[in-house]
Amino acid sequence: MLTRVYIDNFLCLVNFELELDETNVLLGPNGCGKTSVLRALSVLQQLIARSARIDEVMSTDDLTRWQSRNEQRFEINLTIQDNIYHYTLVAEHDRDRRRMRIIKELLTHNDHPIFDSKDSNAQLYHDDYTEGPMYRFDWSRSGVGVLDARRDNEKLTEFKRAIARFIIVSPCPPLFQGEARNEDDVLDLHMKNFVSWYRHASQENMGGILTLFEDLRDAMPGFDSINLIESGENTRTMKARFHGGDEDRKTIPFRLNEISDGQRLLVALYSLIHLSPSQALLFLDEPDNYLALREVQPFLAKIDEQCGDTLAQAVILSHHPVTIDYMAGASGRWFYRDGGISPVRVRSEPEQEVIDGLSLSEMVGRGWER
Amino acid sequence: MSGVKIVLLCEDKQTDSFVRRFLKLRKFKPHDIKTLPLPHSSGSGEQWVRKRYPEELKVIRRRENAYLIVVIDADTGDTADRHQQLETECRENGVSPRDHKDANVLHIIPRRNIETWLAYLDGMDIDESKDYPKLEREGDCETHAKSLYNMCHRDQKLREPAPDSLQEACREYRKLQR
Repeated sequence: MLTRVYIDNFLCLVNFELELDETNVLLGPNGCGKTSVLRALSVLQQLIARSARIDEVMSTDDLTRWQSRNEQRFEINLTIQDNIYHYTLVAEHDRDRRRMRIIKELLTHNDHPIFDSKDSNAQLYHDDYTEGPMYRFDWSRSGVGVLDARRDNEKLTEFKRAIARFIIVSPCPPLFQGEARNEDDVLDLHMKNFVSWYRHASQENMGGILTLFEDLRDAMPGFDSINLIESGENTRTMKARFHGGDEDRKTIPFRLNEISDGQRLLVALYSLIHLSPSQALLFLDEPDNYLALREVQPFLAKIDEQCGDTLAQAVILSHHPVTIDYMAGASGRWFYRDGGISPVRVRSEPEQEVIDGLSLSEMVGRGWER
Repeated sequence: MSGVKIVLLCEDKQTDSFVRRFLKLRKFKPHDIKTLPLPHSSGSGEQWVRKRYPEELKVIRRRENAYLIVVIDADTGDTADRHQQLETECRENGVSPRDHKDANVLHIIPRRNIETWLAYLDGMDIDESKDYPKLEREGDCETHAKSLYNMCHRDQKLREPAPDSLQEACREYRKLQR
């Protein structure tokens, strides 16, 4: 579980700190940095879990516009089975040449360093915390990211695997492609490749299919099942089968573009819950858009039920009144900015005391939480 | 008739988590349950529930095949005090209080609060006048819900000595038809 995020000099996040629990809902007005947090986590994930080059995942435009400093800092604390990992990455930008490089990286395990690099020189450590060899790294990539799994760096590998289990999405069902030409184990930000991901995930977690269909039957009247039908060389088309109105209960297949945006989203969201790798950390940017009012709370209740069981954590960004009223009381992280161009800060509760008789969503709707 | 079968009015997320897990064992699904807005954790949950109760009682009387489950802590008082306060709240708002015709309205009143019951369901001998610690994670109440289901629903008998408030709650829960 990700317990803390620190970000400095990235978009609107300056000296920004966020503490997280198992289930979280990030709240706040438009433009107060909620999505920027997910963007930063996505950058770290691509650097650490996918060995991306830093200039592939960010640019000098990502520096905070009103800061003149050239250093950016990212820190995360991650708890995996009672072990605490602390990771720091510092990037330096050259504004004139629009270049950037990683100048510092430190990973600790229960306060013991297990990777420490500065200016491309890295000190490796064995799993018993003793010093290993020194290496010289390419400063455009994360040293942690490029290290292969070995028998004596299981702690570092465990950290990388946890980062790989981050699923960061801002689902946009009109963009979902109905066909899969291959299998993807990584979802695109807007879940455009959902069917390719489903093709992969349903192979990896066949046991999750039955519970997925059960939940979808509750959410979509008449729903029966989902099939991936061969529709060309290596291509599969997703079809959702629904019962017809006739008495013999025959099912009729519908392509993804033949069902509604809301139904597509239901299929995608419940697939995330049931087919994601075990102990996935879900970061969902406004998953409640497109959903019928009736569907929001059952989805949230299911997330709540699975967190700490098959899912490690859920972080949901939302403006939806049902989400606010159901989750914000116990799990709300209230983002705010003092004035227009100012750093983002977070409170664990609304600034103003909640007025008796008003729901939290009504407080937010009236702007009275501040 | 389709739609929500249980409207849940409760004080906090822990109660919601626990009741939902119990109802799942009673074969109710997430789509059968609607939790009314939860108050912020820093506010008075008891007052929140009490104030919303008359309106929800009025609404549920107009809906067949749906239950209203009201969960409100007795805190340092006893369950009779809470019943009385709910009744008073109704009268002050021009709503007739719950009577024998309202078999679909359940008053679940933990004394002193849900943590007291969780401690009992964890196997402890408890004293309803004492405070018990919160669970580390709200979702850690799965086994507690199973224990309540087994004792209250399957065996129809709570382990002795059982808290009076939970005995009372079991009688209420038995009104649920599924």
